[in-house]
Amino acid sequence: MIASCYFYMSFVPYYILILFFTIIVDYIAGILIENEQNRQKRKALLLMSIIANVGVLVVFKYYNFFVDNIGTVLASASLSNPLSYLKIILPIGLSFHTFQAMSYTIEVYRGIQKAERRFNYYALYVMYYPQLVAGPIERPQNMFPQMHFNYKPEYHRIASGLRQMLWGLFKKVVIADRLSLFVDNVYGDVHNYQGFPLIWATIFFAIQIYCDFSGYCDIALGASKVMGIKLMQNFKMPYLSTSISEFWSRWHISLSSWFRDYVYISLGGNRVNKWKWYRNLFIVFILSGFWHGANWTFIIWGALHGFYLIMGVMTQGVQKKLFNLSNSILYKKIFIFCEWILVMFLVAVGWVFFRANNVSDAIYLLKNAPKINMDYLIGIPIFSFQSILLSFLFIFFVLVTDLYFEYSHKKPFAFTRKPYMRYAFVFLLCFSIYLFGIFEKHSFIYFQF
Amino acid sequence: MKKLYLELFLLTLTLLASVLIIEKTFSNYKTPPDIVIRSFEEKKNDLNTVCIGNSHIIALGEIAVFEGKTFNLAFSGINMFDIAMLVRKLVVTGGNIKNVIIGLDYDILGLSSKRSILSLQLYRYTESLENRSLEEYIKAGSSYFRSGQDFWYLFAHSLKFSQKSQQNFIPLNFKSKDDKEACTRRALEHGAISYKEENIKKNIVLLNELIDFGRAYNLNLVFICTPKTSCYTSTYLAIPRIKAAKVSLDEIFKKKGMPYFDMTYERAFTDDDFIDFDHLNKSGAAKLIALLQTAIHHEE
Repeated sequence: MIASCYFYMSFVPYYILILFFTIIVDYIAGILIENEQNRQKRKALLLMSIIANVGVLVVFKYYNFFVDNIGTVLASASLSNPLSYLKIILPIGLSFHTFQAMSYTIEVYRGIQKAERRFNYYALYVMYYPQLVAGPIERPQNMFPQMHFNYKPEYHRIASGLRQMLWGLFKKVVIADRLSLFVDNVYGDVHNYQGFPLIWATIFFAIQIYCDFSGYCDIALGASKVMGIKLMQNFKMPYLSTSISEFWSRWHISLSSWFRDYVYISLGGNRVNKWKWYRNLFIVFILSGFWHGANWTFIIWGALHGFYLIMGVMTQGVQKKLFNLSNSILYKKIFIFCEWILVMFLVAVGWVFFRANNVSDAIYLLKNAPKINMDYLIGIPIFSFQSILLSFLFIFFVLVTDLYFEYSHKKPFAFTRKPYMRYAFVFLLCFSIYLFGIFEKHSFIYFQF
Repeated sequence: MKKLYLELFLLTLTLLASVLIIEKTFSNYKTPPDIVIRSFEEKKNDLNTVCIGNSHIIALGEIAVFEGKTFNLAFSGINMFDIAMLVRKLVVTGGNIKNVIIGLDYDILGLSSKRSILSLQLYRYTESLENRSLEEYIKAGSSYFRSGQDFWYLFAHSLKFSQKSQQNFIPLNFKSKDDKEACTRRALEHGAISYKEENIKKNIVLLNELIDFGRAYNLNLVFICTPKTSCYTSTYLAIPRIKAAKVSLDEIFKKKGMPYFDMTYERAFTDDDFIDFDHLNKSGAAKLIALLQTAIHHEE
């Protein structure tokens, strides 16, 4: 608990008061909801807790966005904006711990989770430092039982936790931060480029965000494992997906399952008529985009994925027919490969909006990326051919490792029982971090959410 | 748990040994400052003038604006902090240097040295880092990190790797001066790479301190901005942040009562005076020297 407070306060110290506000509100709300027998009153208490949590999000994350958009609308009618901007810094990981806190009160309301009476346990559930600022967004049913166990140091658990942390650090420092040098240069001034640099930057960003976020999750999961608490898996090799729905069952699993359990199902899920089903999917993805940030780029990114999913559902029959057109194994493999290519292309188009500084930059990029000019294969003078080659080698390494773990059903580092092989792999990672790591202060992308 | 401690100990030992091997291998690595500053050290007693700046100054060679010998101490991508530290180094080093020609492009005002490999490479000589974190000092002291983590040097023999004795400043994909599109892109890059608005305040302070330092030590500081091709300038000068930097520079020099020999608007230069879009060739450099001599004489 002390470590968690210290960790959070090392960013903006007084923002811990916001965290304590939501903790106190939800702690009291949980107990009151459990004690209350009247269904209406229980609902009202839940609603109050959600409003308090969402209220904090609105003030700190979305207020300026609304003011900005109201200003734009009023300006088009030649009116001045009566609202002024709030000069505040977004508290780190606000969306993560707010959603984790909300999942507690919802689960208590649903009767799945008992209200936690010990304040320190509840506070630790919300502010447990390994996952406080960038998830995974945990569920109370998973966390509370583990918090009540007595901690005993065990070699296998600690060693495995440390190895997972190392794997995460490798992905972050060696791959994600290396790729970010290229990505930041191109996306920082997209109008300077066309063709290959834009394509490379988008592919690199797709790998960067995966290695950055899954790297953070590996560090969080590993650190937590060392302390005896097993957190949920947040990534399952998403770039091996052959459909958008599969992608979302592998990417940021804790967030997509949060939206599925608390929004999608509450709206009726797929147990409604076809059009309402599509509406539900679309709402969930718009909200998911908005969760990521108060910017139209994120909303468009969410909307795009919602659209992809709806199209996927609508064309399911056609896809099945095409797949069964021939019984040849080769045909089926080629079909799956084409599906994979299409999914990766669609995901990459989505990442353009996610990474671009604004919508016009994203549109410029999509328009100019196909204008391929072989003279600018590398594109940025400050990046040598060797550094680009090295980046591709690391991308290849990550994808091959993912493929291996996916098809061998083995977890990282559990691929061999031979201790010297494990030791060699650990050494290789440590040494690669020294040789190829980028040691500039790049914070994790998902810290901003 | 003993097993874990033993494994961690062994891993640390193996890593330390490997790092030492790498450091030993890279101890012979010559960075541009190693080559240039060592040559300067050898010649410093015969020198009268030194030129400091970025690649636009490198391109000028050893320009003889003043009487006596000149040495070109310029480095590609140099920032304000390192310029200031190099000037201080000249004073500490001794020698007979009286004149320092400093190349000051507008965009230097927005550059930071906090992520610069050049700063790490210069640290051995300037003994100053703008980013004073422990991590940065470790990197500056490491031969491997000073090389810019030039991993390929490990395969120097098998790859027939040779370190260039001269700094290469022409863009990798430069083909022809007629490529207007590439020229525009180059100008935009200069206005964008590493440039941050928040660096301007810090660099203005550094520039003011540098001028005061020069006066205190009787150094004749000559600030210049080299000319560029018309295609380059038309794009470069249209960038709002560059316009703002130009205004700031003019204000500082006016306030300090010091001339700033800005050749950006000089019409005497044609595209034939350049190697590429922004670096002067020999005839261009000669033209610049003549113009500078006249301008300095006029100021006096």
